[in-house]
Amino acid sequence: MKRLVAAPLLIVSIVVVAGELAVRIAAQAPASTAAIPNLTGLWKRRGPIEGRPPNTSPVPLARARAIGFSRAFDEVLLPGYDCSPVAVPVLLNDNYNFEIVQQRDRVIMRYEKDDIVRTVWLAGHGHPTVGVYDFTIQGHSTGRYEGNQLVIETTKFVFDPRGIHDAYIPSSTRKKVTERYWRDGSRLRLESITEDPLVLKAPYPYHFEWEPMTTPLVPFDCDPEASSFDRQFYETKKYQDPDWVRLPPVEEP
Amino acid sequence: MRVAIVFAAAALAAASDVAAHHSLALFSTDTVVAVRGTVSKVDWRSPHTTIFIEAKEPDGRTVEWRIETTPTSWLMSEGWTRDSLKPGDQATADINPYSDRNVKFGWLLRVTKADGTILRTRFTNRLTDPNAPPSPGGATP
Repeated sequence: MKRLVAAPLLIVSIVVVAGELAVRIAAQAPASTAAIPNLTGLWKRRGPIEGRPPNTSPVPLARARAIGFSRAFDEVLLPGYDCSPVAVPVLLNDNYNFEIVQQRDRVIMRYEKDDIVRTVWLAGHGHPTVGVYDFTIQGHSTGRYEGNQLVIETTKFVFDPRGIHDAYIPSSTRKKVTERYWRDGSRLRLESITEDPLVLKAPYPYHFEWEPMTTPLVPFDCDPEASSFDRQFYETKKYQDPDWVRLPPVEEP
Repeated sequence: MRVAIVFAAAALAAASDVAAHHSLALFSTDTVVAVRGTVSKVDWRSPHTTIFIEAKEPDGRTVEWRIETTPTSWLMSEGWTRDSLKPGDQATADINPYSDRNVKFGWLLRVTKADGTILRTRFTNRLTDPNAPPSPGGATP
């Protein structure tokens, strides 16, 4: 009798365990290689995608608080004067070359600009999830392949005084940048969308393209003296004004 | 040495006028000054390669200009090498000067060496259009 009861239980247990293992294995397996576009290589900046309207400034999309911030912000306080790197989408808008390296479970993106290295964790490989307080300059990037595109979503950015645009349009910790890269012949193309409900009234789009290059990336090797020298020439010194912390009133455009 | 204003046009130095890592609002982008003299030093570095040129003022005094330009990678994309400009070279630098003309400081647009060699920068097109974005590709407004 005991054997008659135990046998079905054993079979059920094996099926359950095997099923769970199958789910875990599937979660660890890489996406089908047939669907993965080859984006690996060194890419030379060309500019906005030919044939499309030029990219426009995000300033008209900025909320009043962001415009107020940009008017009050003092140039000399820019982190860039201390060789602090920029982040997407500003990084995408700067005229520098970069490299893409596609690996089984991640994509590495190396930039001439500020010697930035981004790691994009590909979905389905069991990478550890980002912690609640893990905010960084470059944020946390996850990626997936959709058709012929690499789709990257980046969140968990720290506050950045030029996180949307160099005209001191800041970004908050709610910034989310979605990048879509694909090949069009020999060229690499990108469409990106930046969302930040605290700063922007609507998503902010960018599009750019690159062409292959064979020369290696040039190290940036930011020199702190060269980086900060110009600070002394700014005469506004807003940050020394006791009223500086009061953002000027701005009507919502 | 000759310092001459060779071009002037209406332009605004906007905060979005980026040069690698900060605004160019310090410099008078509506004015071009030709600084002719002897290269005394070149700091080949990023974010600003810096060129020092000893030049004579109209009163005969020799002054040293500090002339900033773009990061090394941008210069290399325009054909520069570390040895394109060396101490002792005779050269003319076309620059946008710092707003206080008593300070010998400016932003480089182009260098012409004594042998006629022209060293372009991504801002050379501002010799004819002060509002032109840096080439190639251009940044967004």
